[in-house]
Amino acid sequence: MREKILEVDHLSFAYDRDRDTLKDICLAIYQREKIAVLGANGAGKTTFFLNLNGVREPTNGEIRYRGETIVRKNINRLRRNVGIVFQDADSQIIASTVKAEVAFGPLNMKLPREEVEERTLRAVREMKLEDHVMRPPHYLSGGEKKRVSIADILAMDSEVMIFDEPTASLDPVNAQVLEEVLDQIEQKGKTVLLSTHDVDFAYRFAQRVLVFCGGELIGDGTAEEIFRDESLLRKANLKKPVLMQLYDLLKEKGKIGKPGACPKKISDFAALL
Amino acid sequence: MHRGHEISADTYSYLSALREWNTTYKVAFSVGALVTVIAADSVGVSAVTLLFMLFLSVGVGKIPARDYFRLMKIPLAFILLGGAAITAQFGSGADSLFRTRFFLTNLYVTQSSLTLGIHVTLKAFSAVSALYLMTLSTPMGEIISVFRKIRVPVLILELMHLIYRYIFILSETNQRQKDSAGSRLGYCDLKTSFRTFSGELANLLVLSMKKAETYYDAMEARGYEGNALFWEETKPLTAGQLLYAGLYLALLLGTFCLIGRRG
Repeated sequence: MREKILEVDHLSFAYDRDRDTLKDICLAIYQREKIAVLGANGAGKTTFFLNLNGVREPTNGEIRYRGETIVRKNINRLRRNVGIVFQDADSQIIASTVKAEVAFGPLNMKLPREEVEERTLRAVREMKLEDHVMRPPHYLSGGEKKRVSIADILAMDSEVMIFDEPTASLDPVNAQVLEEVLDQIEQKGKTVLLSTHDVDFAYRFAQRVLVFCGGELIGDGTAEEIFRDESLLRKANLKKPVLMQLYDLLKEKGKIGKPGACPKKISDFAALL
Repeated sequence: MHRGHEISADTYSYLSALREWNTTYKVAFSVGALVTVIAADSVGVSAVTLLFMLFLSVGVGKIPARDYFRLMKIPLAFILLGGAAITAQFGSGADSLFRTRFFLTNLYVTQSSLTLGIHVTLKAFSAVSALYLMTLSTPMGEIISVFRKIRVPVLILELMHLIYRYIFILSETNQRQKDSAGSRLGYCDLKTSFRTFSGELANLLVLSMKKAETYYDAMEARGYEGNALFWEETKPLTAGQLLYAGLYLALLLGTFCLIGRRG
């Protein structure tokens, strides 16, 4: 059994009194998980992430980090170990050079100067931003800014890394680069949570899928389970991944004989045929 | 985003070869020269400073000379107009070098008003060039770090950091608003332009207030606890850098000697 990192226990959250943005969410997040969070706009994904990181406090219910209930006093433990890459890089970047920007998180963790610098430069290298270290963020391109916002969180070395719609507003090449980065992060033993509207990407990437609808968690299971559940997909306004549709079609036509799970990548698919 | 047409003074501060100089030293040098120019109140000192700052910014800092003069042109208009106002006098105009009728009175220039005009113009110019040395070689974040060293309250420094960053976001957002309004004929005539412009500004305010919350969340998510800590580069002060200040002082001394001998 993998180590349990976060436990969300009957979490509810409301911005205003008459309407709950999150309703009674229960789940646990384990080490080295790759989780995709799906749901329509306004389903509560971002609010859920902000709760996981401790920026928003639950109205009801609680969050436990490694068994320890999070209250206002130890909220920094949560913030330190759960990092969020915001959807819009511009709303995250605050410093006037890339280096100062990436160093912001580690500095807030009150680490010694040498370690801050080491972590910053490592994150900068991992995101291939070496040429931009001393440049101000407002002269970077959209893809570069996105990389800076990811380096921000890499430098904090959080156990759980959350990406709020990371592929939105990225061109195909940058999106590809991002997927490679996500794989690297996963190989380092981190847990990755990301929200997306791209079901194909979610299917390719995730082992586990969470589906939000109107503030409720209506689905929690492996990618295979979730995408096979037609009624769930309809309810959440989602579509079946193209690869899965193709697989079903080929199977129906008798082109695939052997039983087994639907492959997640084109290369696996080719091997199957 | 790269905006080639909008190369501002800010850009040069990241490109200048003087960037690696010790920040405190650079700011002290620049402010020191400014104070010297004002205190000395002499044409010689002003001229020496003006030329030396040109040498530092363009020669050592490698800022293209054309761009440097283009940036100097901005204060030029104000300084020249001011200088002209000091030089020209109204009145009967006895003992003047130059006199012309101007409606009911005369406009004239005397020896002393001419000297004063040139004096003030040159002084203003060299003061500007001294400050340009700092502006064109020191990014905002580093200037703020100097303020921190002289114990300016943290709250003000934090605001400076954030305002600096968000000026660019604000102007980018406004540029996008303007483009999209323009594409829908929002600037087709004067009346419409006024209406569009006021709409843009109102929207910008609402947008800023909404976004401010997101920005705050993003800061908190990275452990902000009401005290923004920013990375500051340590840049060693080298003998090479000190050499330039020495050179400047020597030039100043030379100028003072010359003035002393003559006067």
